[in-house]
This record gives sequence, C-alpha cells and structure tokens, in this order.
Amino acid sequence: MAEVITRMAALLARVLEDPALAQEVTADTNLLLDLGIDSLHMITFLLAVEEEFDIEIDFESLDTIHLESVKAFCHFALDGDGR
Amino acid sequence: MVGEVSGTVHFGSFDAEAVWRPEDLAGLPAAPTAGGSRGRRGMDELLAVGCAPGDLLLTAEPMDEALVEALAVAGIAPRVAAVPGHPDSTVEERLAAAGGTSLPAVSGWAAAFYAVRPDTSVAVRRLGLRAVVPAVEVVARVNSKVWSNDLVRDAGLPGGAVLATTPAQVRRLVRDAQGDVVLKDPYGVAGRGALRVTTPRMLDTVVRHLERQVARGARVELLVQPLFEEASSFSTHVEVDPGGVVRWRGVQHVDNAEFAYRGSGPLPADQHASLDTSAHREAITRVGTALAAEGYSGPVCVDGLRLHDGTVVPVLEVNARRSMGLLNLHLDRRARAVGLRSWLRCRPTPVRPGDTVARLVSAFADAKLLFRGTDPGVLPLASGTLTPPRGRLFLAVFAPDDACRIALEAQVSDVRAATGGAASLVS
Repeated sequence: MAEVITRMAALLARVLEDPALAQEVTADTNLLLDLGIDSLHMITFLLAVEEEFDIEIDFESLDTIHLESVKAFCHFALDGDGR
Repeated sequence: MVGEVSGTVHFGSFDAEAVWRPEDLAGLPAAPTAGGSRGRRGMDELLAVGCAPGDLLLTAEPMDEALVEALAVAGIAPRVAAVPGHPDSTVEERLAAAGGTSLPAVSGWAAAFYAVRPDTSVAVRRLGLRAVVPAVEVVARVNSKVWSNDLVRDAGLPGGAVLATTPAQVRRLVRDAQGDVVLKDPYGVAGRGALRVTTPRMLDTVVRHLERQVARGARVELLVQPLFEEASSFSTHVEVDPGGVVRWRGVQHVDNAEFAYRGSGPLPADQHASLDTSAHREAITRVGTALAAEGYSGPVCVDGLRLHDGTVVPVLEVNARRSMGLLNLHLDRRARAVGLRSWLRCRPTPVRPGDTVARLVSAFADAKLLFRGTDPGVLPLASGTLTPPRGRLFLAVFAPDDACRIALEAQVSDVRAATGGAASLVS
C-alpha cells in the first residue's frame, strides 16, 4: 500500500502543480478538505490514475466518501469497486 | 408591512442549467463535489448586489445577519427574507408551493429572477408580481450550447464547434482534430461539463463512459471544440426587452482557472479597444435578436474569447439569464458613484465547521479592509456559499485602479496569515 500511496501522491503533486505534495500527502490526506482539490483538478487526477495504474474507474459509483482519504480512494479505485 | 410602497422582489436559484438539461442526455465523466448543491443554493444571496434600498431579496436559506449589516453599510440594503420550505427544494419550488404566505406582502411589485426555471412563473403569479416570464421550454432551448453553436456557425463567426451525437463520432472528431480539444456538455457551466482531452487514454475513458450510458438508453450531445489559445476572456451583457429591442449593458473582463469561473472586472484598455467595435456589437445584437425571435426576453450574458493571434471569438456561449458579470456591472455602478471600480472575485476555499462569514467580516473590519461605501476596500457577498468541507468565497474588491485592487487582494492574503480561526476563509 505504501508504494501505491507514493504513486498517488506523485500524481496529485503533478495535477495540482505543487511538487511538495509528493512528500506531504499521506494515506490519511483528505482529497477535498486537505488538498482543496476542485472538480476540474479532480477529474484530471482521476483520469491520470486510470493511466498510471491501467485501471478503469467507475465514475458513476464514485462518491465523496471515497475521497475522504487517499487510502479510501485507493480501496475504491484499486481493490475492485472501481475497476 | 410594506404599505403602499412598491419595489422589486429578487430571487432565484443559480443552478438553472441542471433543470434545463434533458434527463436522457449522456454526461461526461465527472467527479463528486462536497457541499456542492447546498453551496450553489447559497449563491442566491449574491442577488443582493442588484437590489435598490427597500427591495426585497428572497433567499433559500437565512442570510448571515453580520453579512446583511455589512452590505447595508456599503449601501446594499435590501430587506432579506428566507423562504420556508423543504431543505432540498429551491426558492422557486418553495414559493410555488406555499405562495410565500409568511412573507411580506409584495403584490404588484416587479420581479427580478436569476433565471427562468420550471417553477418561476408559478412563483411570480403566487406572489402577485409584475414580470414577463418566457416559457421555460424556450429558455432551456436557447441556453443549450447546441443552440448558440448553431447561431455561431450560421453567422459565420469564429469559434464554432462540431456536434457529436454518438460515442463513435466523439472518438472520430477528437482523433481527427489538430491538437487538444475540449468536449462540452450542452448545459455545462462554470467548469462542470467541459473536459479537455489530451491523451488517447482520456479519449478511451470518455467514450467508454458514454457507451455505458448509451447502452442504458441515453442520448449523446457533445460539442467538440478545438482548445483555443486564449489571451483573455470577456462577457458581453445585453437586455432583450419583450418587444425584441436589444439594450447594451456592458462588457466585463472574466478571470477563469482552466474552465472554472474566478472573477469579473472592468476591461483592461487593450481589451476594450479590441471589443469596442461595430463588428462586436453586430455579433452580440444578432444574438439578442435571435433570442427575441425564439421568444426570450430578459438579461443575456454572452461569453467570448480573445485569442493570442488577435482573433476575437465574440460568441463562445450564450447564457440567457442573469450572470456573474451582470452582478459585477451592478457593483461597478455603485463603485463608479464614489470614484472607484469593482472587481468580483470567486475563490474556492476549505471551510471547517464553525467558520462563518461573520468572522470574515470582523477580520476585514479589524484590518480596515472592509468596504463601507466610499473608500477602497473589500466586501464579502454571500454566506451560504461557505459550506464545509469546501466552499466558495465571493468577494467584491472596490478600488480606483488595478494597482490598488492588487494591493487590496494582497492584504486579504495578509489577513489570512494573521487570522487564526477564520484562516481558511481568508485564502
């Protein structure tokens, strides 16, 4: 999981154009509240996640609860629900 | 009691595109937002800036008293009343259902509504207001980007897009395009419903998402547009009267972050020169005349672009409703009366439970930044948009020139640094 979180952090840093986030984002970081990510950046991030992990995100099932932490998002996107 | 005095009743929900959009249209991939619908509902407080003293502003939620007082000190002094009703219902639905029985008597007053929604005409009738309310079917049609794109292409104006009606067409049009393209939902607004496609993988995702919806019976209507090399954005504002006369209201510079709205302000001199032309007026008048021919009357905002090569795209999108740029024109009229100009600012901001606009007003007052009607300053404009965990701060900046405006915005950032509790609101 640590390696996945690191890759997610790198993606967030790239999408939000803030290199420091690559080090600052943790498994508990709230994507909406802590990062202040808006809907446009979020969709860019989600599309980047698809590309990075070669997965298909189910956008219609994605809910704010999945964005309350990077860990929760990883479970949604990578552990089956989002495939 | 209102007595014999007559004025204007202002009301209206800002998420009209959502109800205009046909339910069977397939959508682009989208991300969920936190506090979205409640925050958008709170935007109706912004209508205060168009109110004359004594006018009545009806909102979906109670407006923060500290904000009402701050606005009044700045000369924006409507009476404000929240319309009771179900928390999930719009102000129009509440008025249409209950008729505003607990509200001040306003029969015979004029109505100024943000947009024509399905319940607007019933609300106007129940309150006994005077207004010409265009048919909602007409309003929904002319607010579609498909309608405005047809007008642009028929008129031979620059900036036309191509309509795709199947996932396969979307794929082909994007693949065949030179460079990046933008896919636009016909009823997308303020950054939602527009997607810049930059990689084949993104295109695959979009097409897959569309195909799934089509398999369930959805229709595809997406505009495929080249990504313009934008130098600046602007909005042109007119009023189409019921007789079809198109009255000029003004042009505003628009600040965007990618596709999301961030603010409106006076046109810089170079932009003014490129837009103060007969060609631009003719293009906008053509829009107004076409709207009148469809049966629309009321305020119109036409979004446009100036490209790096000097090309002016006068009609990018048509919004047949009130708009942020129009609200800043109202603010600017107030500002000009005291030798200032107005810039309307919209800032996404984290909001934690307990953060209130009252703390923000207090922080600005302590820093001597709060606009009080004469000297340069800043003025928060809405309380209901500050919804946890993430809201939007709407702020008017009153300044004599751009340099002072920039300095005031820097001071807002200083307040952020110096304020503990309200820090997240002063970003």
